[in-house]
Amino acid sequence: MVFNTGAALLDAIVLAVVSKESEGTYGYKITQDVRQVIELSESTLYPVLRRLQKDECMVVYDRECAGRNRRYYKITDKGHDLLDLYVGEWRQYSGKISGILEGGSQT
Amino acid sequence: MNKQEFMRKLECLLWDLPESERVEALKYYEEYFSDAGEENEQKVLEELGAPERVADTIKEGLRANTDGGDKAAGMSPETAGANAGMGPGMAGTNAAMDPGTAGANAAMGSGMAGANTGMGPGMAGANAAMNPGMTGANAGMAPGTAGKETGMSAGRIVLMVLLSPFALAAACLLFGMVAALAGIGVGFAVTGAACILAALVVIGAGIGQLFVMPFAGSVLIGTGFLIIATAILLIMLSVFLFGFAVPRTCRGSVWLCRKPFEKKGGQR
Repeated sequence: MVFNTGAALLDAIVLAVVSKESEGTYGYKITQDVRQVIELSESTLYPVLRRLQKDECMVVYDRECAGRNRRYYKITDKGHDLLDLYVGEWRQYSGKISGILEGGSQT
Repeated sequence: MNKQEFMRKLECLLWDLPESERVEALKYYEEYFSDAGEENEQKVLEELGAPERVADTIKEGLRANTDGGDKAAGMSPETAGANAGMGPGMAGTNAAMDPGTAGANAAMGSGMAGANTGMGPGMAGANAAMNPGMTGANAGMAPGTAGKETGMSAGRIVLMVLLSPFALAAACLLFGMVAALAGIGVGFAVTGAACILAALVVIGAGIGQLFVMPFAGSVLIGTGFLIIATAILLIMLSVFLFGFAVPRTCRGSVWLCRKPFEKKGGQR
């Protein structure tokens, strides 16, 4: 990947990944899912999750799984709002970039 | 390095975080290892990189959170301060690693194979480039000592940077101790002098009383001599403090400060 992923875009991707699971999802799986789409060092995600949690975009809860507790992250209403905002912004941004790079009908 | 070593190191490196943050971060990585499975332990360790780097990322994230918290909550599109690992806006120690990450990007750019194959060399590049990055940063901080620093390993520099708050605290502590010792010494000397004055007065009064009330007079004179004895003891203590304890402490702290540097010289 030659393009860097900015902080806002990474937030958006993480929120999108977490929002896919209604029951919530856990750190390792989020990392793997995010890495399906962008290059990401494994240590990058923890601060992002922590921040989104502090900003009340996600809540965490522990669930027993295979004999141990696992921490699950779940998107909140506020998180959904933020994600919607990001999706709208992304549509505009990516449309413009695609327009200029691929020479579409955009002026 | 194995998982236990990594976790232990990380715990040490996070010493300056609030308890809740440290526990949270350690729990996350503990779980991360568990979820990755034992068979992937080595792979995870490789990709996480040095514990120092992971710790920096955690701290950087927390700083960004406090600095840009309002903005982020306000849903500003340019959510402030948050880092995407490869973001160019990372400050402090992380900034020193950016050249490394840039190297990773370059490697990926030229390799441009599948996502996974591109990843391997990329990460290696990041690690390899880390050392010069760190050394460069340090040279920038203290240009005067650049020559010396070429002899230091990146690890040692990282360690010293990380320990520098400790060193500062220790220096303050030592300074405080020396000042306290000096203060006690001065206190002893002044008290001693005052005691001698008081004793002379008491003895004088005693001699005066001796002719009127011989018993009370001799008690007063005796008390006076006792006070003089106490004063001499105090003055001796003060002399000991200034002549022995204070210089010793000073020399000791100088030796402590020099020690890490000497060791390095010895190793070279």
